Amino acid sequence: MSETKDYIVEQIRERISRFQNLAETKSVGRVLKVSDGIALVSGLSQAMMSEILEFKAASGSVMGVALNLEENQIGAIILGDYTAVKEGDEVVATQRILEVPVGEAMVGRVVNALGEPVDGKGQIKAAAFYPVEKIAPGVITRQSVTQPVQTGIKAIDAMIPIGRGQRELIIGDRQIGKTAIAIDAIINQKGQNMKCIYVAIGQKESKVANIVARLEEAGAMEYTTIVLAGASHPAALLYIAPYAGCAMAEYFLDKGEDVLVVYDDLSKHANSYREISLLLRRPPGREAYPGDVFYLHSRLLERACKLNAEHGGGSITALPIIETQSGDVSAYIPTNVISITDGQIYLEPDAFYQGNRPAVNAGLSVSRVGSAAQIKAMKKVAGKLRIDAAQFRELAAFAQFGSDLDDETKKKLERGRLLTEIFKQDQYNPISVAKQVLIFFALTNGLIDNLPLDKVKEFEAGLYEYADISGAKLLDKVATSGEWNEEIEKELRALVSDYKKTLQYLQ
Amino acid sequence: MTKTSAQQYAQAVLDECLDSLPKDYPKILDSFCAVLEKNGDLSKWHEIEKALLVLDDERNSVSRAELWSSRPLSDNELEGLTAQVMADSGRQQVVWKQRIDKKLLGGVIVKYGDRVLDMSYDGNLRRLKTFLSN
Repeated sequence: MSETKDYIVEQIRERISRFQNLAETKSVGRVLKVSDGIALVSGLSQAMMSEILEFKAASGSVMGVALNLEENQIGAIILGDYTAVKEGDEVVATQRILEVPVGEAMVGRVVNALGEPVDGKGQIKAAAFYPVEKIAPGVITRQSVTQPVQTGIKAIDAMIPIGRGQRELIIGDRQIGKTAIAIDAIINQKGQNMKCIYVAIGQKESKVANIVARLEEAGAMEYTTIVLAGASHPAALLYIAPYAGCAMAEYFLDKGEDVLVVYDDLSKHANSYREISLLLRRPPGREAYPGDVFYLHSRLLERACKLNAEHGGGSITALPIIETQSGDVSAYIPTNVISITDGQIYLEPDAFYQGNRPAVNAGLSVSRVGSAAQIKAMKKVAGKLRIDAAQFRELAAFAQFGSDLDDETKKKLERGRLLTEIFKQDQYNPISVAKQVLIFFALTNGLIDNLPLDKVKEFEAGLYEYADISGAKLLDKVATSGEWNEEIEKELRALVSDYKKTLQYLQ
Repeated sequence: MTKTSAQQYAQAVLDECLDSLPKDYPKILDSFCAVLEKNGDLSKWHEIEKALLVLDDERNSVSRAELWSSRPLSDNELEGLTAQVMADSGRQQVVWKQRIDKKLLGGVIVKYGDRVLDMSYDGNLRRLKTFLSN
């Protein structure tokens, strides 16, 4: 007992001796006005941009962030319960820039925009804190995008390949499968050495709960963090959420790892920023968005990068999502984000309602990184698929008016119909790159030209199953070796032919 | 029309008076009040008065400081604090407003401009509590 007491006394003595009995100097101000999560504060003449402010409300401290620095007052967003903050309350500058917890402990968790857990799984012991706002890596530290991000979605991996470090926009109307693509891409990252961060901005919490359940079911939460700024959260949290998600990704980037970040969606993010800006009385511009709404997204998406080997070789791949109104891609925010990103996946309502899901429009979708982000085998078999798919649409529309078509056109139409069927894919059912190569190889080499359209799905599923049993080594070689030669072609051809022999409807 | 702030009014009237002879002051102040009335800004007078005080202090290099202590301070102690506030604020004169607050237990709290200098025992104990709990 005596030893324990001595230990306690010693420890406390040691701790107290480390405490420096110094005067504390702080910069204070007073709340002049507070409304809808925005406060005007007098004083705080030395406050910094993005500095955390502590509002001393009667019911306790509430945190805020300085956003508008003016001569005699500052405008701040309140990050907590803004109804508790009253006019005249004291505000203390903390001399800390807004930062969020980062680290391995964040993986598998659902957190809010400030990095606080909201999944009821207890406190998070963060490895470090990273600033929410950070300047993107410069030219010297970067390298071009060469490694693919396999989304597991045939239409995307074949036509619009995404590379590690790329920014690829997913754009389309509401309820058309934008989030589904992002979630499928996350699910397909299992075993691909990739961390994932899904940032839900202004989403319904029930939708996010479904996503978490789906990811858990697929075992994807083992490498995923969800940052949730729901529809019921104040605009300030919605505004911060994507930057917080990016800061969490930067921790892994600094460790040389690859990260996939989904921002779902930036339209709501722009709306929240518009709300904040109008309340801060910043001058409104087009569609009442403030003048710096382009910078809002460009500074976020510029943080996506592929670093060169000297700087760790990590990458952040960004999949921002934009919701259009009635398919209008020429609206203000969509055109801004299209011009910032390295390509877009445009989802088309007509195709969606015709049952072509994912409803990727081959003509309007593009990846500026192109085949540089594809494995050699995929490059070989799917090189012309996007042009073929786009031409098929034109041709199909034209063919409606004429019945007398030449053989070449008829062949193209048949191939196009087959391709459209192959591109159809169920949700939460990503397909490995080797299997994608297999089916596209069969298509482009005319091995399945005689396949009835209503049998495509059945054929495909059977082929994958057959390949798992009889061609596992071959699939592995296609996916990992990065080579493409006559021998592989021969083996693939043989595999498809052997499988076809087992089918009665193709005899 | 752009709104004129209380600071801008105060700066304008002070500059105008300083550039003129005292005999012209009544005329200037009449005009100033007429402008306030015309702009519908008579209600801003209290803010303008405060802004005038701040500008005048700035011009005369005066720092107004509030001081809370658990007991009245000696001249020596006050002199030390004055030197510190002068160094921090860059002003050449400090005007004190002193208050006694037994809750501080000891030490002082000084407030000038938007800075608060907490050297009280009470504050130190609170900081020690936070330090130990972290």
